[in-house]
Amino acid sequence: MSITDPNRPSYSNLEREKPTPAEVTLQINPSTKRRLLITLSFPLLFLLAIPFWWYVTSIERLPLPVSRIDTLSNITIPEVRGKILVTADSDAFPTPPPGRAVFETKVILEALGREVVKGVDGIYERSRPQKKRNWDLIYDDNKENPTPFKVHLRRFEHANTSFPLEPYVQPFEKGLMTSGITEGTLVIPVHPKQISDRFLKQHYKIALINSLLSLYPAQPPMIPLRSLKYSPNITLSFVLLNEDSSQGSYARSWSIESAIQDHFIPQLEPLKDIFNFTIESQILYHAPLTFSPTLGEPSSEKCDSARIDAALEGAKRGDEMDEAIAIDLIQESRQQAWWVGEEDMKVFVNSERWSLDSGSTNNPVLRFLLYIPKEAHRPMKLATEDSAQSFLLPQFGSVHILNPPSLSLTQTSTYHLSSSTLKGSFHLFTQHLYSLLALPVLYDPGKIHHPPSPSPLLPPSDMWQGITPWQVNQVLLSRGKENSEEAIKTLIGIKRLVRKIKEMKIGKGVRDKVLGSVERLEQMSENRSALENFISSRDAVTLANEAFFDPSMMGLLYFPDEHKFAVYTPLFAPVAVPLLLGLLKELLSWRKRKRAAAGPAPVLTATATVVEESQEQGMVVQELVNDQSLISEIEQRDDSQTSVATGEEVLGARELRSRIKK
Amino acid sequence: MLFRYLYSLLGVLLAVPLCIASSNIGSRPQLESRVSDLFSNSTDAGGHTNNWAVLVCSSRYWFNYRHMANTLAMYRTLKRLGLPDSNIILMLADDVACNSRNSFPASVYANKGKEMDLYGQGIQVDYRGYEVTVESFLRLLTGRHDHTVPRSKRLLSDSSSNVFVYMTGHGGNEFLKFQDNEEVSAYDVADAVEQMWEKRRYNKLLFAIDTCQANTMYSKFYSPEIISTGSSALGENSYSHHNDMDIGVAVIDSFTHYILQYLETLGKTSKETLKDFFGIYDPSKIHSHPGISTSLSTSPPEDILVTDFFGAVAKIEISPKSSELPISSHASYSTQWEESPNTARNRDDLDKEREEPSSSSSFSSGESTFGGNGNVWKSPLSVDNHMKRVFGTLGGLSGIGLFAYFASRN
Repeated sequence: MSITDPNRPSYSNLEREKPTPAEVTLQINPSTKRRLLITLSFPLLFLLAIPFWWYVTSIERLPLPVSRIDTLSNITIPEVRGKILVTADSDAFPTPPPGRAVFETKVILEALGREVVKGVDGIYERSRPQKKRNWDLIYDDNKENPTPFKVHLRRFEHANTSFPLEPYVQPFEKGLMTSGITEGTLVIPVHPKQISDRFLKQHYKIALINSLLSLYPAQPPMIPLRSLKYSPNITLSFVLLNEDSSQGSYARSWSIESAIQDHFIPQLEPLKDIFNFTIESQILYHAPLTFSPTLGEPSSEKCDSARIDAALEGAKRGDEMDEAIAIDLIQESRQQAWWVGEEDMKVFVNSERWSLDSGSTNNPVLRFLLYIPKEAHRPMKLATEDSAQSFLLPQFGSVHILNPPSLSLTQTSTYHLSSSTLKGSFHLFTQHLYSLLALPVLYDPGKIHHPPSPSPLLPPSDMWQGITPWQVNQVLLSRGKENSEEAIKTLIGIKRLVRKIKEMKIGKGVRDKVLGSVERLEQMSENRSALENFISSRDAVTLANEAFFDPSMMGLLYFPDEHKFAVYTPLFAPVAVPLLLGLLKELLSWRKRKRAAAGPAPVLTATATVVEESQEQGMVVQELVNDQSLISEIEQRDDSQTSVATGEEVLGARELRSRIKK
Repeated sequence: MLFRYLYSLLGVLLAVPLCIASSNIGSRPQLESRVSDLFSNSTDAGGHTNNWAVLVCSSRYWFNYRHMANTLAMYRTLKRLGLPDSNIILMLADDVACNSRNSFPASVYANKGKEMDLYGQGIQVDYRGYEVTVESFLRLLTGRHDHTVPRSKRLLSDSSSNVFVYMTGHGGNEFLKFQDNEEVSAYDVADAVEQMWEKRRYNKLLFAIDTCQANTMYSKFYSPEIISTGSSALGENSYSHHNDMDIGVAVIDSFTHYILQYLETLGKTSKETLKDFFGIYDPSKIHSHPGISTSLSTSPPEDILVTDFFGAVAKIEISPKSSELPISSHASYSTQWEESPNTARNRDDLDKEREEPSSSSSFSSGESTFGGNGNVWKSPLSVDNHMKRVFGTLGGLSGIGLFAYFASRN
């Protein structure tokens, strides 16, 4: 630092030919302009990087169609008006006495139809809350676009001879003995004897009004809590569970394929537009319970004496089958049983130990469990009074406990469950399927009856017939309503969340899905068919859900301000200090130079400042500073009058400098 | 007389702000719409059919043994009360059971006597180790998963589910540390829960947290139907309960210990309410001040059963007798039961069958069944086949030999 000391006497005595150290310094150091550029380049870089930083760190939030979503929230779900075709056998009406005008069947039907419409309207008007009829009766079918809803008045020899009439829905028929009525037609059978009745028209009217109210309700049924929420793909898992097959006497196989074919396919097939079912089945050979059923005497209420009496009646008449049943029932009623209490039923399904489905999909699974208790636990019964040996677990599935006959064939025998053995279980499972999927039940006591058997020789079937177009329509409407409501709620949810959570990203994918969902909801109208509206609603809800659950929709993490400071300060503070100080120095020197330009100052001071500043330049200038210390050394030698050496040294220093420059 | 006037005066004074408030509500459409939104969202008021639980242990390393033990003990209790594994999402940030410092390998204990192994059999950890991150936790709550994430890692709750969220780890004011490098803040959790509410992913939510300054973690919730409880107030630590000298570290935290002690007294059919649950908190035993927040819930804790969160199935529906097939076609009587076509097989035969997988499959049909004996599908070459090959080869070789012999003679 000796060079900066102005009190050095030797300095002023230097010869003019030699470059003064101040000149040397000036030569070595970059020019003021250049240094200013270097100093300014750093803050400039920061300034230039700001847009980039902004672009990189800002959250993409594309605008959502908020106003369209808002208008959606007020719309009502469009109701499609159905057309019901009414036809009749030509001889289903009494022939008028001779001399009276003979009317065409269609004319009679039109007159009847007007009465029915009037009757239904009257009922709906009186109901609270008021409802509206959403169908019309037609008498000629449109050939290109036939309506699925048909009513037929049928003259039928095997019908009930007494009033009221017993309407039924025509099931699928095969074989030679078909009635010729298309499947799914609502049939109002009338016995030939009844045709001459005076009040036949009134009876027709009552039967029609009742059955149409039941089959085509004004509002689609609600989806109860126990049912699955709508999902296009559903897996049904049938499991045969043996409590413990190691002790013998267990079910070894079952005719599951034919049972499904007989009982489930007729129910599932018509729903193919709504649900896509996957069916799997398995047999478990070891399915222990987590609780132990209690062995107890049957109480008097628990044995159903009515059934025994009925069977005994049959037995007295000499019916062999009834006799066997009676023996079985009496034995059953006297036997001790293993009772499963209601609380035990809640923990009956041992999900921890039983693998109840393959778990291969993310689709909802409905499980139908056929449970065969081990021999030591037979007969196992539900302790609730007047109940079937079966219960339903909401949104999960159902359980049926099946006890093998007490008179077992041999101790170690194994069973094959044939389709006739499975009939009872699958009858229950069918009903559970209806509950779990919120399918409307066709049969309505007093309104819709079981169909007659296709052949008069066979007894009428107690099984539930396949799903009819009437039910499919109700499912379409109720699921469509559910879906569009869900879609609208989800869209509103997205809108609200985006407003509330500022860190949430809305990319193009999400916006497109939201737009798609909104468009589909807007497409729904009364002019389209129920199926088209349903498909729109299904796609709308799928898109809305996809948008909501889009992985990119993750709101970015919230960081408090202290946190941000804690992250940024260690990074930027050390860099900022020399930058800011450099700028400050530059400013000061600029002011000094300005002042110097106004009134010439001694050279000495100016050089001193330059040197001083050059020392503050940090890394870049460091080598030059080394140079200067060399120069100051030279000066010290100057003091001791060794001028030749000094000259060489200075030359050396110049070489050094030029090398540095390179 | 004076008093009577005073009362009426007070009445008037009270009425004035009330009137103003009510007129304000009426005049503000925004507030009204928000209120109606709130009600429109609750589709099935009060009804719930299933329970879900999310159990999170967010800290790593051996010395945090107690956090793993907390979570596992909670998991065991939930399972004991009947919640199936499929409805419990268990997140463990480390695997102490298999830690090399564990002198009881493959087991975790939550008490000094080592009475019950919490790890043992039948444990299903859904997220473990480095999978437990803030992101995966928030994605779990909001349901925003990649489509490849399996069912067991998803919270598939709906508007009829009660969800129990339990968290433990090291925390501070409004945050909880995950692993060793990140933290979830109370704001993040509150936002995630709000998103759950918007998508109706819960009917009621019980949030319990055992960490230092735990009560700050639920202070930012703003969604309805949340009941929350924490182990310690702002500025307080949450202490461990006791050490085990053989394991060498603390085995459980106080707050969780006393909760579990209480839950241990309950059965599946218990009628205890959350009020009883909160009633067991004793700051002198826990050494911190547990917090309870019920302001966001519409139903008070005395109306909510503990088993509404810690229980199994909410209800079952028993089919009525009339749903069974009538007697004439009923299947339960003996004549309709068939013996299995291959009846002669007793246990010994079965055993043999297992050894010889080439015999016929015991499933009713190969296509529609799954699970069970995997050997059925890859039956090795039977002995007969083997011998045939050997004979064939020998025959071939001898043929070549004969041919060569005759050729050389010619």
